[in-house]
Amino acid sequence: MDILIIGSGPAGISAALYAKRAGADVTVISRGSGALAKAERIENYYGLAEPVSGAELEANGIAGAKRLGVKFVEGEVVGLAMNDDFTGLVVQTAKEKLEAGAVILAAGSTRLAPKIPGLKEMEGKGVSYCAICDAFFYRGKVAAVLGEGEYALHEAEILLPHASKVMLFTNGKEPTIAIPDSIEVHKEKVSAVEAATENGTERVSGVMTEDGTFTPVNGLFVALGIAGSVDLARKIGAAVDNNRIVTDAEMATNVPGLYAAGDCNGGLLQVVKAAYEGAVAGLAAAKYVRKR
Amino acid sequence: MEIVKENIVAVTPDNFEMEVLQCDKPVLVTFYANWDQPCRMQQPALDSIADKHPEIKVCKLDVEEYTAFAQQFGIMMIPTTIAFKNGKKVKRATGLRLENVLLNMVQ
Ligand SMILES: Cc1cc2nc3c(=O)[nH]c(=O)nc-3n(C[C@H](O)[C@H](O)[C@H](O)COP(=O)(O)OP(=O)(O)OC[C@H]3O[C@@H](n4cnc5c(N)ncnc54)[C@H](O)[C@@H]3O)c2cc1C
Repeated sequence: MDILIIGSGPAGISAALYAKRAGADVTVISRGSGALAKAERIENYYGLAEPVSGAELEANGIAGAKRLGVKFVEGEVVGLAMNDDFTGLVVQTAKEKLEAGAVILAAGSTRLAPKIPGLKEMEGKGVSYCAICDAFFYRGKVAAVLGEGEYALHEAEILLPHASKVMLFTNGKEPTIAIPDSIEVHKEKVSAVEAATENGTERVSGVMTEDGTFTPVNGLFVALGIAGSVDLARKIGAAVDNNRIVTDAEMATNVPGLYAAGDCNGGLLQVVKAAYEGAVAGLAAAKYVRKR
Repeated sequence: MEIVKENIVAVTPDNFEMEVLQCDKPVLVTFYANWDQPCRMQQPALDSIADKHPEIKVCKLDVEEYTAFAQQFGIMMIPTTIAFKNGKKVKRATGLRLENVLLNMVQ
């Protein structure tokens, strides 16, 4: 396929409209509603004689794109990578791998990681955000994943062939999917990520849970809830600054063929800006795949 | 083999003392692996710093080849960039970073 768009909010749908009308073959993958569906009434967007609910605006957007022939796939994206010969991008969902010439990241804004003591401080010293990048360091070691859904399971499965043991800390939540027996599940709330200093270098030593248990682990991969735009950007090496994706005026990231639009780019978190950025990204991505 | 530009030094446990610790210029050392996508995407920023800032020495260390050595620096995430001045670690940045962020580490 030519262009795969992650997210069916105003950014993703605007991108789809412009890319489709520019002649590209366009597919949108989404797990459902985003921020817009939470807005009760929108009355600051162009052309609304009467306020509409965010949910209605979102549904109308999707219907309009379908009318133009944009394809839709339902699914939760858990990974993003280059293909083997670096000619395209691969979007991984819980069920399948989809390859496209260009990808537009329009998955909305990313929640900040929870304030667990040690999480921020130990980043890069055992706390990691990308199993595919850093699994290598856990050969024969104990690796843990913080999370409870498809995304966490995906990260844990990447770690399994490397680590001697893989654990899942759900931080007080019930897992939303079945976890295989090969992964040890801990459901207590996490109170701290503990560190120890060895030969002058500080490293993660374990996870402390609210029941007072200390579980020794060598590292912790953060994969809470659903993979957000920034999580996906990190895996493919798209530059991120202050929890927002860095793009140029054409909404291109530093990764060839990867564009980003909407709330994930920061700035004004409004429909009008998401729609504008989506339009620009859609046109730029269509031009990119034409030139390939 | 990775092609390292001539103004970027491939450091090893053998030349680390001379190239990094004894260097009288500020040094940026990026710990990387060839197969890692974020590491590949970090490369243009390193090339650009090496081209534009002769007053900074830019080095790369392959964590796959020198795993035990990288562990001495507590490297558990790639890319990780450590800034050295007068043989001392001054700053550390984990994950892919923008060129200006890397530059700020030594300025
Ligand atoms: C309560 C509230 C009120 C608001 N009121 C207004 C207002 O009055 N006016 C205004 O202009 N703006 C308002 N906003 C902001 C507006 O909703 C957002 O700026 C806009 O929706 C951003 O669009 P987006 O396409 O970037 O992201 P979103 O609308 O958040 O869409 C993200 C899409 O990505 C999908 N997605 C995310 N992760 C994944 C994954 N891993 N796999 C697959 N799909 C994924 C989601 O399912 C969704 O389809 C409001 C927001 C809220 C929360």
